[in-house]
Formats: sequence, structure tokens, C-alpha cells
Amino acid sequence: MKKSLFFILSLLIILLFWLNLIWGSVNIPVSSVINILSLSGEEKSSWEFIILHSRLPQAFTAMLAGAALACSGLLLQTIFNNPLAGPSILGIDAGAGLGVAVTMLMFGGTIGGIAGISTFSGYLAVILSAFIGAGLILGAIIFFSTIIRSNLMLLITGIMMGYLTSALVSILNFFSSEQNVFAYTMWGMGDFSSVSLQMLPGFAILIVIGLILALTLIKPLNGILLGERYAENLGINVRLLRILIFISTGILTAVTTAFCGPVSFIGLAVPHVARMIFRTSNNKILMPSTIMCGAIICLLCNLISNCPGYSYTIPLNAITALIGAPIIIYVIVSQRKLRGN
Amino acid sequence: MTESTTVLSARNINIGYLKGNKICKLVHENISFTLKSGELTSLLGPNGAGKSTLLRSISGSQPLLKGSITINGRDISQYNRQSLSRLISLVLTDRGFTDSLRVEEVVGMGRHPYTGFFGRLSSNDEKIIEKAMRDTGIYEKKDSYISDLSDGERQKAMIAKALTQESDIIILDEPTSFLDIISRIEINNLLRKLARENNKTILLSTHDLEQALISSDKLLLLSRTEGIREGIPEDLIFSGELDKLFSHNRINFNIKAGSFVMTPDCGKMISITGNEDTAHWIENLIRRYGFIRVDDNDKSLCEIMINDNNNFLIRYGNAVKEAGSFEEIKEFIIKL
Repeated sequence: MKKSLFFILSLLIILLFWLNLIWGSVNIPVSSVINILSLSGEEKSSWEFIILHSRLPQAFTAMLAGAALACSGLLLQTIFNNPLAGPSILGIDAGAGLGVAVTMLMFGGTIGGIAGISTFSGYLAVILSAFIGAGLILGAIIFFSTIIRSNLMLLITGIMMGYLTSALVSILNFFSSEQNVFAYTMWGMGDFSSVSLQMLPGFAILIVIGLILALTLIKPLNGILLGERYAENLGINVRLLRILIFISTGILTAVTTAFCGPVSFIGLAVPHVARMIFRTSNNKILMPSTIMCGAIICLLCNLISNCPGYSYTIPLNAITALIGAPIIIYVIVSQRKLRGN
Repeated sequence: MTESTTVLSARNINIGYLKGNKICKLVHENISFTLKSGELTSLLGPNGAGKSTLLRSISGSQPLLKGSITINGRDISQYNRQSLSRLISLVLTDRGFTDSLRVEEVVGMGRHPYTGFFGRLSSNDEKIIEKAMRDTGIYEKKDSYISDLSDGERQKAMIAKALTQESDIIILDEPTSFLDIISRIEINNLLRKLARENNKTILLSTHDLEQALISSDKLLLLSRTEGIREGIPEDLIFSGELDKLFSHNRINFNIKAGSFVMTPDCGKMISITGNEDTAHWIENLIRRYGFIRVDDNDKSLCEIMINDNNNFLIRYGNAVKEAGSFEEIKEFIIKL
């Protein structure tokens, strides 16, 4: 049963990936797409550019970003023992956003707006500042989690931190040039198209490192499902586990946010989708399935956001919210369903 | 049954809480006790006496402030995290995030200290898990989700988890506190059986005095002021130690009833004669209305004579009244 579900998910990833390549604002016949991908060089160079430099990296980015955000959402939900935890709820991507804002709005002139970031050092600066921003918020939340026992209160603290960082970003916006503010606002809407083909390997490597780290934590993550004291009694070093989760979530959220902007709801909603499909919280099954569902949902969101056949784009965050918010409401209303009744 | 040996011994330990390196709250000083293999030991004491603190200190999740605990002859501090998890297993009241896990998966978590990096279970592990589920009587539910279990079944699953940990010692923090009377008896019998047949050393904290007196090999009495007393239940009853546990001057341990009861303040006396089983429940009745039972007819206000469970004679001075039920006895004595 589980194997066939995984098989269906794999098929969906391949299908949606393929649809992302063949559907877009410019109508390109399937046979031409195949020719371009086999690098035959016989097709129109403008089509070749669209497929190889726009649709292909965008599909990869959507897939990887979806996997990364969903995985970090699962990690946070597990360690906080709270189904409503997620990178955006806890303000972690707001933290990454603050880091990006500092770099883009303060030094924007030298590094360039997100669309204009072309130098490697420019990208590195944005990623690094996003990582530092995300890390600061995560660190603060972990610090608060040692004093605040109630997970609900902790969640509220996270939300407040999110507001704080947004406020700081507004202040930064106020003092920066119009051009930089525009670039930052565009970045804030979320977008899978900012990773160029040249940048893709670097992006992919960072995400894969974060995902591998998360996958190595499956056993202790299962232990912590019993509760912290049980986990300690099973020989799990809970403090070390927290730090490793912190690093993994930090990498996954920061890298995705730096490139794609704060993509909302994926981290929060996707683990629940996976739980509903597989009806388990066993991370051996849940983590790979969450990663796959994240990839699927982001490929789908990207497809919708690109409005195949039309020349305009709907902001990505509008799509993820339209899909994500109803899922969260459904989860809250029918908690019992998650338990497998 | 194999001969029981001392598995754990605590010598003059101080327990309490540290803040940084400083003692911020000392809960108990100089307590000593031993736990033996094959024995079920119950830890009893009023709320706030430090039962949970003591259990945490024994299981190594909280440092000792002074003294030492030795397990199988070695000091507890010499065991690392991993080996300690093979020595002591815990059953707690925490619910965690287990609702959408199946029983088998939760029980299998007990193999964590033994499995490799990814926690893959060998066929030997599977056998141990199956045996633990059979021993605790939860095998039929192995594919159920934890959220679908009753409180008693969930407790059995957690005990099975403790068994798969293959530790000599199992520590349970109030394992029966949420359970109904049938499940309480079941769990207590299960723990007794595991202690005897699997030669486990079992320590549990409880408020269920009645079950503790029936099923424990040994009691540890932890009072707020007196420290710890250990012994078999009957010795502690007759030495009066149990009575001292809750230092309350009007609530005392009643040997005949096997439980703590409140001594009536007015102390009007009634004597009861006849079948002892019935007399026990008449005593129970008159206590509620502030009387105590005496054997001496001269001191008593009245005498209740039992002919049958629904036929009593009440002698009051020179008058004799008949009563056809416990309720009629009640109606009579409340007018006294």
C-alpha cells in the first residue's frame, strides 16, 4: 500500500515537472521541447532560451524549494510537538527576509536588486544574510523554548518575532531608494524564477545538504515523538538533536527564502497533506513523503502562477496561500482524521 | 522464581534542583533504599513529598546533589547515556505526539538503544517486540493507532515499550492514575507478573494505596518531613509507619479497613455484634455520621445486633428497635 503511494507520488513529480516544461506563457510544441532538451540545436533559439534558461531551472527550483520548505516544516512540527509550527508561522522566513532586506536595501546599490543580482558574491551575500537572519530567529525561538513550557505560548512568541522583524524591514524600506524597495517587494511576493541555470547547481547542493541532514535525523525524530523525557531515556541526546534540527531548518529555510522569497504555507501545510495520505507520523515514511509532497505542491503552484497560455504571472504567494490556508483550516477542524479513525 | 539480588541501591542521597551549579531547592536529604530484582516496589507519599523528583534522580535525568546510586554494583555516573538506556526504562504519563503511530511502532521504539543509525529492526528485534506485546496483552491491538486505544491499553503499550528496552529496571510514574478500577488491577497484576516471571526490578509511584498494599513486594514511603521508610507492606502497617506518612492528626490509617479514614470528631460510640463482614459495612456507615465503633457495650450509646443483612436489632437503653435495612439504621442513628 505504502509502496504504491510512493510510486504515485513519484509519477506526479515527473508529470508536473514535465508540465512545467511544456506549459508556459509562450506556446512551444511538445516535440520542440523534446528536441531542445535533447540539445539537438535544431529549434528556434528563443524557444531554446525559454526552455533551458527559464522553464527548466524554474521547475528544478520549485521542486527543490518545495521539498526544502516542507521538510523544515516537518522538523519544526516534530521538535515543537505542535501541528501548527512552520517556518513562516515561527517567523523564521521573516528573519531570513530581514537578513535579505539588510543586504538588499542597505547595500542594494553595490550588489543590485534581486533581479539584478548577477555576481556570485552578490548571491552569496544574500544567502548568507538570509541564513544569519533565519538563524537569529531560530536561535531566539529555541532560547524561548527553554523558558516557555507551553507550545502555544511559544508559537505566539514566534508570531510576535515575525512581526518584530517585519517592522524592522518596514523601517529599512522607509530609508532606502525606491528602486531597492521595488526589488525587495517583488522578492517578497515569492518567485521560483530567480535561480538561473548557472546558480542552480549551487542552490541544489545546499538544499540537498539540508535534506540529507534531516534524513539522518529520522531515528531520533521518531524517538522524540514519545516526548522529551522518553527520548532521553532511549539514549537520545535531545540537546544535540535540537541543534541539528536548528542547522537543517536554518539551511533549508534560509537558502529557499534567499532565492525564492518568503514562500508561505508550504512548510506548514505540506506535512499535514503527507500525514493525511500516509496516515502516520512515523518519520521513516512521513519525512520522504513530506519531501515528495512539497515538491509536487510547489511544482503545481508554479504551474498555476505562470498561467500557461497568458503573458502575465500571478504572485506565487497568492497561490500557495490559496492552497495552503484551506488545508490548515481543514486540519484544525478535523484533527481526528489525522489520527487514523 | 530466582533468588532476588540487590539491583539498585541509593546511599545517603540528597535530591533536589540545581540552578547553574547552586542548589536552588533541596527536596530530601540523606535518603537510602534498595531495589531488588524480581520485586515490585511502590513509592507512596503525599503530593509534594518529592516522588517525581526521586524518580527523576534515580533514572539519571536529574543529577544527585549528594551521595551515590549504584546499579549492579557500579555508580550511576559511570554509565553513559546509551548504557543507562539499557539499564533503566521509563513509563511516564506524557502523551507526546504519538496519536498517529501504531502500537507496534511505539513498542518498537524501545529498541532504539540497540538499533543502528537508521533504526532498522532486525528479525531478532521483531521477535522481542512481539514477545513484549504478548507479555503485556496488547498484541491483538498491534496495528491500532495509539489514539484509538483506551487509557489502560495505552499504558500497556508503554509498558511493552519498556520491556523491549530489555532493561533490568523499569520505573513507572503513576502508571494507574488515569485508569478505572479494572484497568488499575490489571496493570498492577501485569507488573507483578513481569517482576516475578521476567525477573525485572520495578519501581512505581502511585496514590493508589489499596492496590499498592495488595500487590507490592515492598513499599517506599516518602513523607515530606520524615524522609524515606522502606519495608514490606504488612510490616509498615503494624509498625505504624504507614500511619505517619500523611502527618494529619485526624486522618489515620485504619488497619481493619486497609485504608486511611477520618476519625470522627465527636466520638459518640456504638457497638456492633454479629457477622463481621456485615459489621464492617455498618461501621463504614456509622463513621459517615460521626460515630465510632467500640466493643465495650457499657460505653456505647447503642448496640446494633446483626441477624442478617436485612434484619438488624438496635438496642438503645432498654428499648429495642428493629431495622430492615442499612437505611433504617441510618435513620435511627442520625437522631441520636
